[in-house]
Parts: sequence; structure tokens; C-alpha cells
Amino acid sequence: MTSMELLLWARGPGLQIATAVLLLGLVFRLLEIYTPGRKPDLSEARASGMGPGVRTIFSRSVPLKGMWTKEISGYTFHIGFLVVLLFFVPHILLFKDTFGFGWPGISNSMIDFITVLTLAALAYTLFTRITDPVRRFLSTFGDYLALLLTALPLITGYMAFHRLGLPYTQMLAIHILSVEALMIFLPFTKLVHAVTILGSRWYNGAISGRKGVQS
Amino acid sequence: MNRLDDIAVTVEYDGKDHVSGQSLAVLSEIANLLENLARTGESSSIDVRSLPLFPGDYAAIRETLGTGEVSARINALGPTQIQETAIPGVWWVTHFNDNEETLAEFIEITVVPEIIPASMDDLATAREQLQSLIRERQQSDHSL
Amino acid sequence: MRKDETLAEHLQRQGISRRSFLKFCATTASLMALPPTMVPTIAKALGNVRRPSVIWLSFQECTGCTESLTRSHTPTIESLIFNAISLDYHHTLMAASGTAAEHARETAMKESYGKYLLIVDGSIPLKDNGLYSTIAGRTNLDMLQEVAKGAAAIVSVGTCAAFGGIPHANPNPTGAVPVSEIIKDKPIINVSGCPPIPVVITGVLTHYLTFGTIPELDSLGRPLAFFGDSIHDRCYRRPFYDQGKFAKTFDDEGARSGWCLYELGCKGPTTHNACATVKWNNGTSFPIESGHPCLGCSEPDFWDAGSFYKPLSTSTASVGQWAGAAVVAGAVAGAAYGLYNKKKQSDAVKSHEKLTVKDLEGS
Repeated sequence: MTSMELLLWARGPGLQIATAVLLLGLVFRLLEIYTPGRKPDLSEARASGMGPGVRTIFSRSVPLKGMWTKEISGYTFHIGFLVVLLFFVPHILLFKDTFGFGWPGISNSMIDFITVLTLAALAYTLFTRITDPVRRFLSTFGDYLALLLTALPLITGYMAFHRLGLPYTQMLAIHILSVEALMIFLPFTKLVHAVTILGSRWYNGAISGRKGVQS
Repeated sequence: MNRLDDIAVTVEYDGKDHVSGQSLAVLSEIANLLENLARTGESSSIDVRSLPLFPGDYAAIRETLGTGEVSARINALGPTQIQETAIPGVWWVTHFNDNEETLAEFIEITVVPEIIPASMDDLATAREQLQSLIRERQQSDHSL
Repeated sequence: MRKDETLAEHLQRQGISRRSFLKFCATTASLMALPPTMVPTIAKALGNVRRPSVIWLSFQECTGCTESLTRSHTPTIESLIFNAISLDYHHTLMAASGTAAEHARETAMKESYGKYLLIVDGSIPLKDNGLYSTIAGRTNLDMLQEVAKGAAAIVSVGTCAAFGGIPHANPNPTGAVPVSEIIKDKPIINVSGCPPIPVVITGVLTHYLTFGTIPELDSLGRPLAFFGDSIHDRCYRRPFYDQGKFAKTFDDEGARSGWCLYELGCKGPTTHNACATVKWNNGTSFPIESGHPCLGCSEPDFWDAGSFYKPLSTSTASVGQWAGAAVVAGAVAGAAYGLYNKKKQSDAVKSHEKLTVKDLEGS
């Protein structure tokens, strides 16, 4: 297969398959998690759970006092990843073509800088996961897989943009394929937290609020 | 015949003011080649097309080199313009085709560009060429 | 035309001066991106070359490649290269036709067997025994295989001959294939482009005549001297790309200011050709400079690479249908699995099963 054929497959059938698996997987997981439901709580509620539930979705994004320095790499990675994904012009054009609307992007040099920061944060995360004995003990295959799936699009995208490694057409194909891999595995790994985080935070806040305790 | 230049177009930005460090680099290279020429008599030539120049760079180089005393026009499958610059030994050679389109451009660092002097091959038959013209003249003079 | 005379002798007989010849060598060296120091070498080699026989076969093509090469009202400097070869067969350009033309080809093949250069434009149809394109009652496949046997090298001119081109595009009703898929035992130079830039064709011929070898080729068999860089790498609008200044429609402010055409579908980044440096019509301009995004015409399958006007980062297929079907399938499967889990849970409660750590661990 020539590089051009690989690129066209990645932009065509590859994307169709990855999107289908992503959506099918996400809907399946969400329904799987939420369909069983819970038995009704027959105890008397101290307060409503709704307010604290919604509040917790946002409050959990703010680190607890004294935890700020420990959270920097996580924040850098998440924010950086989203910025690069959503504000790099060629990506915006893809969304515009798929969803029908776009938005302004930021300059290529800025994206470049943020990509490097994001990769540095990921590298640091991997470093602490391996060197800290507790974290290493707790780490499973799924943890490392998630790291790899997230890092590959960033690395291959950076290499393609700067014409590093393989010839451009091939590198671009590999970048798109790495994104498709991320899409396919997302619903079936811990990466599904991208979607389930809303429900989880709400639930934790709601049950605590109902009991009248801090969440 | 309608020419491209006759189409009315408003040019908003043609980059003519854009100058980069390339122009200085090229001029330094020419200086080095001139030193080589003076020392060893070796000619050299720079293909302008091969240089990554912004439009402003090209103008900057031309302006710095200036204009010299010798200007020659060769008609060989289209015109070729040879302009000596104000720097002795540095010549600007531009090859055009019959439609005045630029085919190639060189900055030659040499005593005289190679395309100007008569070639040895032509000289071999030159005397014979003239002799036959002289004979023709003699015959027509006789018949008067 | 005497076949065994050198190019220098031939030009002299034609009244083309030594200076014209030097001008040609200098221009061609520049076009082939060779340093000016190579000019005397080229002049010497071309001056002494014995004009080789060239056979040009046109198959399933639009004749655009021949047009590209011959489109000039006066003899041009590039056409000088055709004085260096003996074009013994070209069924569009030659004076003879019919059986006389075929006879000329057979004679040339016999006289220069093993030494002639074969130039092909157009793809070769294979479906139904190749009957979709025939010359003098013979299929293209048949003629190509026969003529290729005695060729020293083959030049596939144009994207059709190099990669299949238009006929090869979906659904490829004639079963069109490029030359390289049929001939496997001869050196092939792919000069792709729809059409290729004329001076690229003549540059390749000049290289072959000057050095007697095939120029260095890339992974798709194209001469690196002309196809080494992508259009994007040498595009003069790069500063606008880097600054994020894109034209959004063909007539907006950005387009008028000469901004990058990425959003209008430019395939420059994935296309390798010399358009951005050598340009077209003797260096006049090239599509991007004229305001139109690059089509990617020198790459394989460029007709099937999605719309010419959608950016390179978009998909080439419709994702919507698949997405819709996936959501429905996922919903059905998810709900079913969730209900199954619920039933498992209530069954476990009924039978007083103990809760274990494993149940709590989850997926």
C-alpha cells in the first residue's frame, strides 16, 4: 500500500469505522452503567441532592488546599490536549466539515508550544507512575495503554507538522490512524472518564448533599 | 496580442519590501568568489533561481551591485541580456525566450561571461566564411 | 536527419549557433537544479551524444501531455532537446499514418533494438482482454509488452502512465493500470503530473542523454530533482500558512491578499512536484499563485482523494450515516446489557448471594 492509499483509507473508511466504534461504545457503556439504576433510598433526605450534585461537577475541578502543586501536570495535560485538539485550524476545519460549524483558531506557533508542554506533562505523569512505588504497584496495563493512546496523536501530529521522521504523507496517515486508535479504545478503557465524569461527579455530590454532608 | 500585463489587476501586496538576511549572504558569497577569481583566475557563477529569495532580497542585491559600463544583448533563440555591475568581474546574465519570459538568471564572477566570446569551433570556419563573401564581392565588382 | 551525427553537428547544420546551444545547456542545468559548474559537462556530453531513437506510445490518454510539451508557436529553447533525439514514432505528431506509421515504428525498433528509449503516455486498460484501447487493431497491452522488450528504459509521462490517472479513478470501468504494473523488468522513470510541467519532461530526457543513466528516483519512481519537495515546502504563501492567514472563499479579502489556500482544499502538503519553483508557461505562474488550490495532480489516486475543495484534514467519506447507525446499535446493546445486569442483580438478591470484592472492583 502506498502512503497515499494509507492516508486515503485513514481519512475515509478508517474514520467511519472509528466513529462508529466510538459512538457505539460510548452509548453502550453509558446505558450499561446507568440502566440498572439504584433502588429508591427510603431514608429521609436532609437536603435536596440536585444542587450539590451540579455544584460538585465543577467544584471537583478545583484542587483541595495544598494539592495545587501535585495537580499541575494533570491540568497542563488536560487543558493542553483540549486546546491543541480544538484550536488548531486544520482540526477546526475537520469539525466544521463534520458538524457544520467552526470557530476561530489560534496561531500555529502557539499550538506548537502548547503541544510541547502537553507532552512534557504526559512524560512527567509516566515518570511518576513508574518511579513512585505506590503508583507503580497500583498501575495496570490499562493505565499504560491509556497513556500511550493519548500520547501518540500528540507525538505523531507534532512530527507531521514539523516534517520529522517519515515523509509527510505517511506521517499524516499515521497521525490520523493514531487518533482513530484512541477513538476505538476510548469507550473500553479508563479514558471513558471523558464522558462519565459528569455522571460520577454529580452522583457523588448528590448522595452527599442528600445526607447533608460536604462533597 | 493580449498580454498578461494588460489585465487590470490591483496588487495589494507583492512583497517587494520584504528583505531577509539572504541578500547579505549572497553578496558575501560573491565577494569570496571575486577573491578566488583574482587569485587563481577561476570563474564561477551563481544560479539566481536556486536561491530562496524574497522579492525584496533580489532588488537589494541588484541595487547593491549597481550598474557598470558594459551592456550586451545576445540574440540566440531569444534575447540574452548581459549587464556588467559596478563591481568589476561581476556580471548579471539573464536568458529570455522569444516571449520575453525569463528562462534562467545567473550572477557570473568572471573576466567576461563565457557566452560572449566567439567559440574556437566557429573561428575555424570564420576565415573561409569571409573569403567566400570577398570572392562574391569581387565577382559582382568585375561585372560592373 | 542523419542518425549518427552528434547533436553539435546537427545543430550546426540547422544554423543554430554555438551560443544558442550554450544558452540551452545553462537554462537546462538551472532547471534540473544542477550547479552552474555542470554547464560545461552538459554542453560537452550533449554536444557529442549520438541521437538515440525514441518511440512514443500513446495509450488511454487525453493527449494533454503531448500538448503540454508542444504548446509553443515558435521554437523554444526547450524544444532543442528534441533535436538531440530521433523521435521515430509518435502517432499524433508524426507525418505518416496508418500502416506507414506502424512500419516506421517496427523499423526503428529493429535498428536500435535494446537501445531505444520508450516514452509512454496514457494508462493501459486490462479489462476484457484490453479491448477498450487499441491501435492498428492491437491492444495497448500487447503493443506495450512488445515494444518494451527492446527498450533501454521507459519514461511514463503523465499521471495516467505513471499511476493510472483519470481512467483508473473509481470505478475504473476499463481496468486501467499504469505502465509499472505491466512491465517489471525495465527501468521506469515516472514523470507524473496532469499534465507534467514541460521542462520536467525535457529535463529528464536531458539527464538521460547527458549522463546516460536514470536520474535518482523517489519511492514512487519519480525523479527527485523535480519531485523531491512538496508544493507546500516551496510555496511562496507559506508565511501566511504559518501565521494562520487563510482565504475562506475564492473572492474574499484574504484571497485578494494572496493568503494561504489550505481552507479551500489545497493539497500542496501531500503533493510532490516542481510547480512552486519551476512554475508553468516558462515560469509565469502556477495554480496557487493564480489563486486556485493545488489539486495534487502528480500523486496517485488524486481523483479519488476526496473533494478538491475540502481541506486535507477533513474526511473523504461521509461519517454521518455510520455515526447514526452506531448510536442506535449502541443504545439497543447498552440497554439490553444493562437490563441483563439488573436481572442478574435481582436474581443474586433473591438467592441471597454474598457480595464479594470482585463485584465491587468493576470493569
